[in-house]
Amino acid sequence: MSVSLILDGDPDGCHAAAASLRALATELDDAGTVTASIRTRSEGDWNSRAGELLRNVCTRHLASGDRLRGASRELALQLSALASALAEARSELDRARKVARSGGYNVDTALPSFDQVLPEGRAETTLDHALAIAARAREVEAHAHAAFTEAVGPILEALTPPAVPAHSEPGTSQSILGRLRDLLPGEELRDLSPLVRLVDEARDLDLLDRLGGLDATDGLRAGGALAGVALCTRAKLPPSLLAACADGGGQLGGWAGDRLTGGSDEQ
Amino acid sequence: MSDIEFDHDAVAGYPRPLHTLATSLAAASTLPTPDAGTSTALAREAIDRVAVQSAALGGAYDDLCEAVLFCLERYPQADQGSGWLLEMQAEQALR
Repeated sequence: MSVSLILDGDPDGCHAAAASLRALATELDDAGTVTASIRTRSEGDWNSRAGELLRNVCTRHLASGDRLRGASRELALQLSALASALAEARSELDRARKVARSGGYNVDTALPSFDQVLPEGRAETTLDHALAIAARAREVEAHAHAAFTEAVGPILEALTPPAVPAHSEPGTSQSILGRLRDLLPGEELRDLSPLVRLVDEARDLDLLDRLGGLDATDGLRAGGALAGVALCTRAKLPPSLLAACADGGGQLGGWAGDRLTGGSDEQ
Repeated sequence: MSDIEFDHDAVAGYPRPLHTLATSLAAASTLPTPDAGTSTALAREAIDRVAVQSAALGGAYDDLCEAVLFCLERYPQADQGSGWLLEMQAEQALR
């Protein structure tokens, strides 16, 4: 049986991929520097709960970037090691070809085996030497692949959990805001000022602080309820109607929230 | 604006570097898959994960940039009465 002299794999391609991964790691480095700077500066520039959330987002992105940077660098390292080993194997296979040719064998892509070219029991030093070189080259290649497989396992494991928060999709905060703007008719309502004025009258109820921790649907439901209470108060309706106003406003807000977040259309 | 300290001029300096980060990460996340012989499938899987998650991080920076731009646009409109509501909207944008 003949022995192939063709290397399985492209060392140059592996080196190029490793270089791209290192370039990505550098970009992630830069991202970390900028993000950390914004997080620090914002402590003085933006002092509110929204500012705190900005810093939380920065912290999350920093952690994701660190993990990706580590994985990129490690993967680049392993690809470079694999490329170097494959290049060494290719060089040895080339040497085996030259040794065989020096012994008079016309070989190109494979070395013949002893039983193909020699009578049984007769040794051939040159071919033996070439076959030994090729066998070592194949060992180098096999060890390189085994080492790569062993090293990449933990990298894949580190990359298994989502490294970043999900990109904006329907139902997330930004799309909700966008859809809210689209849904509200006219500039007067779109800037929310009538609702602001209305709900502002309910500030004395000390319920507004609870809105911040609610999701979009519950927030709008609570806001609607507060607006109902404020309307009831402003119109000087009897206290007996307060609960009904709050309930009606809450249902309206909940309905709007469901529509905005893609939930049920039922009230 | 009541109980909210927002230095508009200072925060106005945030979106540009955030947008640059998003663009740079998107570009750097296009990674070649090499012919690594019998390790090609494994290399491809690892590289794909790095590429996809880096691109997603770029997208997340874009989201953050948009959220900050939203706040820059809306905070100056806030007055004593409406500041809390705009703050709530800002919180939604930054979650």
